[in-house]
Amino acid sequence: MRSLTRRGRVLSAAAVAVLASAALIAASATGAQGKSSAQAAPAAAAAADQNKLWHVVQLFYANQGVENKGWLSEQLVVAVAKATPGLDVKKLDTARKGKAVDSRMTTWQQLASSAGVNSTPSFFAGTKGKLGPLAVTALDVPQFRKALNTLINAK
Amino acid sequence: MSLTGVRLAVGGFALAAAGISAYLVTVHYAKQPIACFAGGGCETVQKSAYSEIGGLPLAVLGLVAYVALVVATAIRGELAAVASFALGLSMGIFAVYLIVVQTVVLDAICVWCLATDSIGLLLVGLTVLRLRLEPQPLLR
Repeated sequence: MRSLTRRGRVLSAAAVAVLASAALIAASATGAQGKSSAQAAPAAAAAADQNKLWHVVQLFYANQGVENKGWLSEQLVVAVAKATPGLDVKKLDTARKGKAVDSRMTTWQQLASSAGVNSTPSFFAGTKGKLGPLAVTALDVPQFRKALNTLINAK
Repeated sequence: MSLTGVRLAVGGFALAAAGISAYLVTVHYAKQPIACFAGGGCETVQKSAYSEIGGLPLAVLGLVAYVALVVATAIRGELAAVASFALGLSMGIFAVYLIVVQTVVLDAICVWCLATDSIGLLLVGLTVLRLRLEPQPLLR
């Protein structure tokens, strides 16, 4: 087998470099998406054991920063836990790092995927016990009215 | 510029970038504040969702890549020059991405990161220059 010419070697090296950097960029951009929610979710899931899920979620949303800017720090998770009335912070801290919460998160993730939930917020509504995604493009009353009326009037 | 001069320049710049990356790795794992100048965006960038890939700090990846480039630069020959070029090109492309992330997405500048990114861009040209100056092997 003939060895590559210098031109061939350089072109191969360039192709490898472009592919490697494209893979790194894709991994970085994909990983950055939803990193904040990945930190908050275990805390919220662990708070569910103490019947405080919505309190914790509400506090995270109230303190939400700009997406993907790293606003959700470990300090904020602790601060939210401490600020939630009636929440046992020590218990939550142990639980959110435990396997039970990990497995609960996996189950929730699977449920969300099978239901077609791929963004926050997502809305579901339906008639006769059948739920489906609610097609709204803005969080205002006219949008919801239109989407709900379409659903109600559909046969 | 002679081949030796280009190799010294590549090695010098790569060593400087490796030094900066080592500093960023140290402050990351020691959980120390970053010494930041001009605007103070270092913490924003370093704590952003873009500062890691798969849980590994980008500074670690940078350190490994720049050290690899120093090694490839220390080795003579065409194969080492091609390897340097591949490393330089991938660093340059990734540097453009990181500059866009800082300026457009995060709207915060980390001077240390910008320094290594600029070196990454400069290294594309220098490694291409080395490739051009490197003599071809007589036998294939």
